[in-house]
Amino acid sequence: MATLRQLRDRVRSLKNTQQITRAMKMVAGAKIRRAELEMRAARPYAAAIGEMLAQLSASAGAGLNHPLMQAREVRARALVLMTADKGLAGAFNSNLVRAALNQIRGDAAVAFYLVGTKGRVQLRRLPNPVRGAWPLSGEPFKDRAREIAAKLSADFTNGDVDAVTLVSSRFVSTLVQRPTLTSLLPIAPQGGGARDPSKNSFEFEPDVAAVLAALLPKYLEFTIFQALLETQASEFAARLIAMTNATDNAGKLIDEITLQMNKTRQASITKEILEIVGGAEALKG
Amino acid sequence: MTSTTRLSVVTPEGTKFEGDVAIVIAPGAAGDLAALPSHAPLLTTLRPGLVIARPAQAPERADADALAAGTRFAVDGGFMQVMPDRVIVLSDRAIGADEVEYETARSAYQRALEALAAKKGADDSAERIAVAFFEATLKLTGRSAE
Repeated sequence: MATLRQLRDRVRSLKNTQQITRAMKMVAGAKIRRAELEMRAARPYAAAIGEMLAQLSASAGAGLNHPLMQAREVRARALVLMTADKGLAGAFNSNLVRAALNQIRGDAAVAFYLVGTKGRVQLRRLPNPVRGAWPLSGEPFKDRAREIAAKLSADFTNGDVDAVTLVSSRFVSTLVQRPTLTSLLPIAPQGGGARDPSKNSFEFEPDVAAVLAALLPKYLEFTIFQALLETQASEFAARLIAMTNATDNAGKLIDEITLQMNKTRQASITKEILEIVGGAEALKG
Repeated sequence: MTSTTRLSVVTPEGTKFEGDVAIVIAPGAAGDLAALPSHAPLLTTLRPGLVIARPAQAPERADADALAAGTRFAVDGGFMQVMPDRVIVLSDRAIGADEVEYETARSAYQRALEALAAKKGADDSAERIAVAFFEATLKLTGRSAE
């Protein structure tokens, strides 16, 4: 049985750990609120740009042609994997990495674009080429998204990659974050095209091709921007849950050990009293 | 025929403005253009510059004073979708006249000019957009750079 001192040390160390996990929990809780607001703020833009692209697709029909929309035989596949920069968020990073690994199925030719430090660390041993790597945080997402989009577009138009899929986390709720796949390139026309022709009487300035050429890079950039926002919100949510559990578990352990500590102390006091009483009795005799 | 159209100014950071207006003037790709209610459907790219809207409640005048009193935004390019009852301005950056401070706008404009000068010869399209954008924000303050 552990001595009183050992138990006391363990409680002290657990309390320190609990203080850290509680702090991380509160930080994540504060950040998640902001991340959620940012996500919600981006929704009108998503709706508007999607509608414009649909409008273009419907009006231009088969005449839709742009390097970023060019679907060709897929020889070189690529994955964009978004993870967090830091761990201590439960299975958050592992889930994303697993989703990516399921996609490549051991194919060493699939190239990676890695966003977030954790993904890079976990995939270090794979033979797959890494065409680009960025941290998740550290720069405004708008600038980060622009960088990533520029790199992807350049590689795609050069013919280095023929299809790009995004693996990122979708923020369903604070309790549920799901790894999801999104096809980034080539950009598919929106809305199908089965539309009421009378509604397609849009005019374009300067012309369809020019609007398309301006809209598609923005669309790609914004899709990545939104994925960054969702992945980050998911990270905070996963960390909030993980740290809440850790804090609760530490609390439980502290209670248990404190109980044990009190029992041990009680036992030693009882033992001492017995000794004293025993000694006194012996003297009387 | 409706006498107002619903204008939304949307950026990735959120909706900057939403409201009923009587006219929207925007820096279209092929020159400034005005969208009145019941305008034919139009999708255009925007140059960096000022988007001006006259609120529905304002007196029925289209002169410069009335417009200056309206809602004004500096945008750094983007897109505008015009529908008969709706106008959507989509831009990466949009700043309203009430958000601009003269000093910050002026120093941002000067920094943009310096960045453009430093890029001489190379691809300076991003810098040109920045200069035009900050020039527009400066215009919002109603004062010049001097």
